[in-house]
Amino acid sequence: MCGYDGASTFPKAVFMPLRSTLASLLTLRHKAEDAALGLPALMVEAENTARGLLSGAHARRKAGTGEKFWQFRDYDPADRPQDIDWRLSAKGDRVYVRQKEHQVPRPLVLAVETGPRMAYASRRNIPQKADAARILALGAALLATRAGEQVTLAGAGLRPGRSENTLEKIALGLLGEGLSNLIPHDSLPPGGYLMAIGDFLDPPETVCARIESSGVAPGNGLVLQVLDPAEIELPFEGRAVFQDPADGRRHAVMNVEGVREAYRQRIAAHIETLADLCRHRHWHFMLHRTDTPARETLHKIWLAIGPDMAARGGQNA
Amino acid sequence: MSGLVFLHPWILAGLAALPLLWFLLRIVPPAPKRIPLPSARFLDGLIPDRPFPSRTPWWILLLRMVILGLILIALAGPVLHPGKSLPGRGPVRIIIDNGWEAAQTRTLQSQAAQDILARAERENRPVILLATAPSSPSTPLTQSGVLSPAAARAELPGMAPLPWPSDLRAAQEAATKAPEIKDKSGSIETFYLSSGLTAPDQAALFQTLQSQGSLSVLTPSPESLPVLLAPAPEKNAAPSVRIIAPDSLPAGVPLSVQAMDGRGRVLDRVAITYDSGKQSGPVSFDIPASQRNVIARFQISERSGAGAILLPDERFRRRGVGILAPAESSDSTPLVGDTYYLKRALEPFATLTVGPVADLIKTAPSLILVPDIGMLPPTSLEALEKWVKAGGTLMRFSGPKMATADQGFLLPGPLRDGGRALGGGMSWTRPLSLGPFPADSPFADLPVPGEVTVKRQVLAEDSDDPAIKIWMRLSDGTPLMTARVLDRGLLVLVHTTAGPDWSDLALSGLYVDLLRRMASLSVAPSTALAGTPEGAATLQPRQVLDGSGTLVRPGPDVRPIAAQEFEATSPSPAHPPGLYGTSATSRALNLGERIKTLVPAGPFPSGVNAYHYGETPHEKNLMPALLALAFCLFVLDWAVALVLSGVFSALPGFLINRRLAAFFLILIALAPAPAFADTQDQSNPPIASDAVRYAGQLHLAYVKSGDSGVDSIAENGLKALAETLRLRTSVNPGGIAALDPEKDDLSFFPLLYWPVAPSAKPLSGAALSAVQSYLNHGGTILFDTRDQGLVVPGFDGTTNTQALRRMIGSLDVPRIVPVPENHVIGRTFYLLDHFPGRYEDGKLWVESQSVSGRDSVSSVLIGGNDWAAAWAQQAEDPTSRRNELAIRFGVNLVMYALTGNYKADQVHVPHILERLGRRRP
Repeated sequence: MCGYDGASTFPKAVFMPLRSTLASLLTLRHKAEDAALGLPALMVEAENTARGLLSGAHARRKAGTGEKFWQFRDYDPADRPQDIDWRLSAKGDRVYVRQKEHQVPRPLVLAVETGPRMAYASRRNIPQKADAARILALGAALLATRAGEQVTLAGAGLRPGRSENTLEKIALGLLGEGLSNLIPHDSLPPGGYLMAIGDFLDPPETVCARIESSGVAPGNGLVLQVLDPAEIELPFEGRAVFQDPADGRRHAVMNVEGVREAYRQRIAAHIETLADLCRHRHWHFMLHRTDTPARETLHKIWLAIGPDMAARGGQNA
Repeated sequence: MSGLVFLHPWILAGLAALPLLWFLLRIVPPAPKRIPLPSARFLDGLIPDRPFPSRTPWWILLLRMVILGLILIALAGPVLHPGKSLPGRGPVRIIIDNGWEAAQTRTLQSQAAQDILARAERENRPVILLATAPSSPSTPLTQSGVLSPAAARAELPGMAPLPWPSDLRAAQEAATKAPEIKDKSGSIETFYLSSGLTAPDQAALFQTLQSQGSLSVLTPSPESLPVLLAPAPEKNAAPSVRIIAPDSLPAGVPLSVQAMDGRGRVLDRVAITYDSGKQSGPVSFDIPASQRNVIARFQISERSGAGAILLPDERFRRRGVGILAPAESSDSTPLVGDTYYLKRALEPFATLTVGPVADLIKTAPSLILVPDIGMLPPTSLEALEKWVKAGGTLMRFSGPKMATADQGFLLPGPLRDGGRALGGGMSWTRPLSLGPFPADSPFADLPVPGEVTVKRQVLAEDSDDPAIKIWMRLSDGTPLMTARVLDRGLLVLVHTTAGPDWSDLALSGLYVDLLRRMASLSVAPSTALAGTPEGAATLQPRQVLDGSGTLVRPGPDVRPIAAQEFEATSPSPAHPPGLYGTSATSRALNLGERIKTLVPAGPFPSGVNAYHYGETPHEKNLMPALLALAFCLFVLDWAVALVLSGVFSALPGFLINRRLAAFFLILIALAPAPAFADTQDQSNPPIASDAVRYAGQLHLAYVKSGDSGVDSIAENGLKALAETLRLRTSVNPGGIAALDPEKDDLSFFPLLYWPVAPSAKPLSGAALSAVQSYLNHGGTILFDTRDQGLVVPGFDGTTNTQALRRMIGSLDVPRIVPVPENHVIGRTFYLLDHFPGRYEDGKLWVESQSVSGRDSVSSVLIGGNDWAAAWAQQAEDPTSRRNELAIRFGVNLVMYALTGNYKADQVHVPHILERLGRRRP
């Protein structure tokens, strides 16, 4: 945890969004590794589930480009001579062509929301929402690459990959600013699996529109809403002026206790609306509170998307 | 009289406005907190469901009410324990006793004066001040003009106690003079701040004061009454003092008297519990005779001022007494001779010298005793006469030689030939007993023992000569002791022998008392006789006591005192108590010698309003304290307001919890003083650093004897030894360590020097086991009894030897023998055959046979030559052969402890050489 450099910036810091506590790549990587640390068993489970798909390519159950044998068929003049399986052809008069199964990669696309709203932590001892989102994203990426899947980060202009180099670039991208476009419109590779992480506090219509416009197929997505416990519970008291860090608008409340119940209902309704929206598109929806360990949420994520990616790939063939 | 009073009570009406304030404060809440919240959008348009949902927390409200209430109460001027308002309307006069006794009641008096001034200030009354003791002989007492109370307060320190008695007559005269302004009523209200003792003319003063207005007299409570320190006759040669106290001093008041030397160190301290109504008996100090002349003052430790101090002068000093013993008469009968009796009687009290006249006069004795001697050589006689005329006291005893001498010398009066024999086989007279002392005899207060009889005496020719004083008579009236002044000296003749030949006097207790009294009279022979020698000088003031009891240089007002008037002089501004005369003949003017009794003040005439100090509690204005408290609370309120508005939200977590923070702030603000008084852990003495130092380099060490003088000698001696070792040998000591075997770890030191002080106490169990373990594990200790004493097992020996035995008697030490010839300690560095220190003859004892494994090094060495003193002297006087030998012994000793029997072989070198030589063909 990097220290808060106290006295000099003290008066300013009171009303400024708190700085990210993940100062460096190493810290982020370390935190993500730490979050994923308890998950080798999950890896095994994932591997069991997606056995044979370690290449990151997902079999299409038809002949095509791939590495696994699919079928032999008679030679057609349109075939390339080098496709002829000479050993089989030599057994008889017919000339066979050896066909392989068609396989396509299904990269995991991470889309992480940043911005002033994400840079918020209600208490010093819990991480900012943005940090929690970064840790979760990189943790998912780590797990995915270890399972052999390809990973990319939306909006960073990265080719999907599963190398250490790719992970590093993803981590760098996560730490950089300017990933505010939550759900990419067209940068998704075909067949990609979208994992969108953010606080999704915009009105549901806006979120809905963006989900619609992403072009991700139903069933190929996961929305992870990261919220601070203060945003869910409104634990304040007395007279207070609440300020939205994004647009700076102030909302004066004479007595916080008096509006707490109504606020909780509103935020719960908002979360429910989002969940409905995802359910409608057969996407997963998850809520992460920043005061809970990232590992638990990562566990849930992997339980959800591990079989999903494997199974969907199979069904689509 | 007691309780709380407000100076401006109308301000308290403001308290009625507090409920209104409560109301106002309630609806003006503190500034709202500003909280960033990303989900603030969801709060839009939410209306709280309670009408006045936000209000000032009750505890802030309470805090602010308390602040305002405190300010209001403070402005109203509360005064705790206010005194009565002053009587009358005119000016207030404060008379302060400032004689010597006021030094003991000073704080009471000045507190009372401050209280009266505070009341006068409140009532806006002018003040007149008057002290009772004149500050100098030339300026008469006057009362101050009419002062404002503030000006009077500034004058108060000037009325400090003075070292002489008050002069109430002068005070009365001063009080009679009319002050400059007159009130309409013309009365002056007087407060007399008395020291508690009555003084002459007090009644007249009171009468005057009462005629001018009301009079209040404040006296100390009986247990704080002043007391006086007075000399007492010495008891058993111990310096003695007594305390004069007023009768009403209650029993059980703890008082203690300490004897101090010139630098203020306490030599002895004796506690007294005073019995009511009785004068205290003499208090004797247990001070060794050698220390007696060091005493510079006696002081009552609980009291201060000139009255609590007694200055000893020359008469007090232990003096030298010479006993004339003609050189030719060797003392053939040492146990029955006259000299022996004289010696035994005076030995405890005086420094004795025995020898011929020339030797005696060289030692400047104050008294020379001459046992029965018929005639002296003319030169001796001349010297003796000159000495007597210069102020000496010669005391002669008669005997057969004097009775048969042709003519006497230095006698009070001519003697008849032969003398007189009483009793005996051929006589029918009986030996006569002593008669009562004549009234003018200096021995008049001594008891006359009935059993003393005189068998023979010499008779004076003419006992009616007025110049001859008869100090002692037989029961038939015959003079037994006569005295006469010779110029400034005194001749005394005892008409019988100094020994028991002619009378039993020498066997009685009276004999000792007589000689002792003579020794003390001898310093000032003039006091022994009513007639004072002529031509005595005036005594110049040397050092005088000030009011607080400090010896200071005399000021210009101090006048010399004529010697013959000294006894009649009472302390006064011209003659403050102190030391007069030259240092050789100094006389001390002490209050305690001039004032015989102390009489408590009272009863007072009717109409006098008398009470004790401190009966009314001290007046206290509470306004500053209340305002300070209000300010603290205000700061607290401000801090709380800051916390509540969220300014501190960026502070560390524990402050974020605002209620808790506010609570802690209150606690911090209210806590009067942090209770971290004892941050240092006393149980961890800083041994470690010492241990590292001691282990790193060789240190010479000595064991603290408990006597600071002995210890400092040991320290200096070892320092000199260490320096010598550094210069002459390869031993390079790192320093000197002073050890307490009970507390310190001895194991770092190969050799301990252990000087034995006569006051040494037996070692505690822990110390004994530490020393025993040190010896058992190879340590060496040199015990030095420093008295040249013979350290023979089984013999009582000297004081220090006994102290040594007491101290380490239960140590397990092997049998010790005197150092044998050719012992290795005589060879380790220098070749020595004896081991002198400050003394040369004392023997050094070592173990007869060293325990195996000790490299033949004796575990203990015991001697009495006071080596450390010689080593210390060697540093100052390196040319002295004796000191050089002493330091050589020190070098040998260290080498012995360090190298063991390494040099033991050399002991046999002569034999080896001899043998080699024999074999050489």
